[in-house]
Amino acid sequence: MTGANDRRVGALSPELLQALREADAWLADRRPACALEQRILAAPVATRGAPLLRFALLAVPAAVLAFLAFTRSPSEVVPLSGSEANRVLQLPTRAGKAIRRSAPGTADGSPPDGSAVPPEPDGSQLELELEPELELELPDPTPSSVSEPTPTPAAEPTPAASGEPAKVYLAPVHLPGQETASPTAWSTTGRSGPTATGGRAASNGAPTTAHAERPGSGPRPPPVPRAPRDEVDPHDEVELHVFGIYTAYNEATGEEGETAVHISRPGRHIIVLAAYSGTRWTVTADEDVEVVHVLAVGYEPQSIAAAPADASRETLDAVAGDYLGCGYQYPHASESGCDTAALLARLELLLDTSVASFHGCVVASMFTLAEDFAVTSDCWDEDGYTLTGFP
Amino acid sequence: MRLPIDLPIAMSAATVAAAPRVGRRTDADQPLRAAVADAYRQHHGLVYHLALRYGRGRVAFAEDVTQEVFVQLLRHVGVLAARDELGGWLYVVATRRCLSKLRNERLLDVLSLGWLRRDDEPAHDGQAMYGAREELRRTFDALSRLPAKERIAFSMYHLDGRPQDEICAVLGHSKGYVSKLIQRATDALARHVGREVEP
Repeated sequence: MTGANDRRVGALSPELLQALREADAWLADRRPACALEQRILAAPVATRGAPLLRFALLAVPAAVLAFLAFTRSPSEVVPLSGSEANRVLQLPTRAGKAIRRSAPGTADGSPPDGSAVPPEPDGSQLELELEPELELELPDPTPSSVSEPTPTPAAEPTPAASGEPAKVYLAPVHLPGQETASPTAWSTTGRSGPTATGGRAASNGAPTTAHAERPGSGPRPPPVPRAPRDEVDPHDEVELHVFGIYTAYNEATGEEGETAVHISRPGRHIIVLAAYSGTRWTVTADEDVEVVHVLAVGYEPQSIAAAPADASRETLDAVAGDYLGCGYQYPHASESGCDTAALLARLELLLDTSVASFHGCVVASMFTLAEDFAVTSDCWDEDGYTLTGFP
Repeated sequence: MRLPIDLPIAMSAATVAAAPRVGRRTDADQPLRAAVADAYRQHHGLVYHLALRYGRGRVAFAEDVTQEVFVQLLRHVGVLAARDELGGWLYVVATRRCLSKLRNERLLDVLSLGWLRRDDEPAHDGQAMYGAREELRRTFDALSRLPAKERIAFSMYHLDGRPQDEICAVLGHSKGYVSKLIQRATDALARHVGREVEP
């Protein structure tokens, strides 16, 4: 049964071997179907169809998927103008929605028709370019002025350290027809010069914003007021007023964390309330004043306790992931820890309108905006901190 | 039962590699096809039997192997010329084809692609044993549970009476490894039958 040179293997029981042979004999008596012979003889010599079919089952779908993945139609990409692209990149989504809701002329809440950036008189678009050179600064501990109740921001978590979205870009604005040697005018600069709405009080001379010293840019030209447009931009009818504090404290009552703002200037207004510390804002207005939108921004959580009935409300803070910055001094002092200029620039980009007024104080619990832009406040005016702003 | 093979398998395996091949079907193929038809009538029992044995009694598996083996014969006219070697050549080719298909099945099962296998009918193991005595069915089932190489080596050694040298030539392994395969299969069958005998 086996070869002479076979290696020894264990013996199998005769009964088992016999059963196996009988089973094998049973199989040997089986015969294939008669059609099998015809199938063999009728088939071409190279019958490779089945493996090819099986391969095609995998290869064809894979090829189709690969084709679809690598040949996406460029028409699926919606082209954006430069300013739109910048806005999409920069602006928090929630803020963008809020502004659209508050846009005048859209009583039903739908976004205003047409481009977000209306065309300039010469037909060109307001062109925005992003320059990622702005670095957010955290509020410094109030250097020497306020001892109580000003908190110590040095102990606060910094946006960068806490992983907050600190990538906010400052956008220089190219204004066609601008009367300046440089085609670029920083939208956040030039606050010290006279403007169309009147002169601004600069307490310590030239602006000291982080971006004031662009190499080769020289002294900044005064901001150019927007030229009249063919189509009236609803945003032009709205004034943007910004009130900034570091923290809210009422020296008379000792209450913390609440600040009230009252608007007496007639017209339509967007009110922006900026604070580093968490603040509960209350906004009121005279009867002939229309506040269309109230936006509270800050590092710590902000809230709007009350606002005029028709005003939409929005809060942006680092906790919610939308940190626009803070500012309570104008011109901005580098040791303040907040960058007022950057904040105003971002607000202008966000709201698509120029800042009509800014007033800030390190500690305050009340602001009142009069018809002539005059602001009264219980600003903590000791240790060199005073109410500053423009116009 | 001994298989009707009396030719040295090693020589037939060498013939497989040296045999000339023919191209696609033409009128000139008719004599070739007639020769293959004769070979089929003479040896299809051998090939089908081997395929049933190694394919766990599956009819579809056995028919696939039989078809593939004789289609391969169409491409090796030199084997037909050496009619004395034809039985050994078919034995080697059928055994290797069974081993190859069993490997592919195992790979597809591992990759969970078993549904891609082209089976014309459900793959009932031991289908060809329907009608046999229960004892034979259990014994064949024990043989079918062995790994493919062990099953083939054991069957060639114990059922076909092939020397280990020829088994080495078919499987492409050393004699030591082949003897180990046979021993493993023997032990596994003994254990399996022992378990079934115990109450």
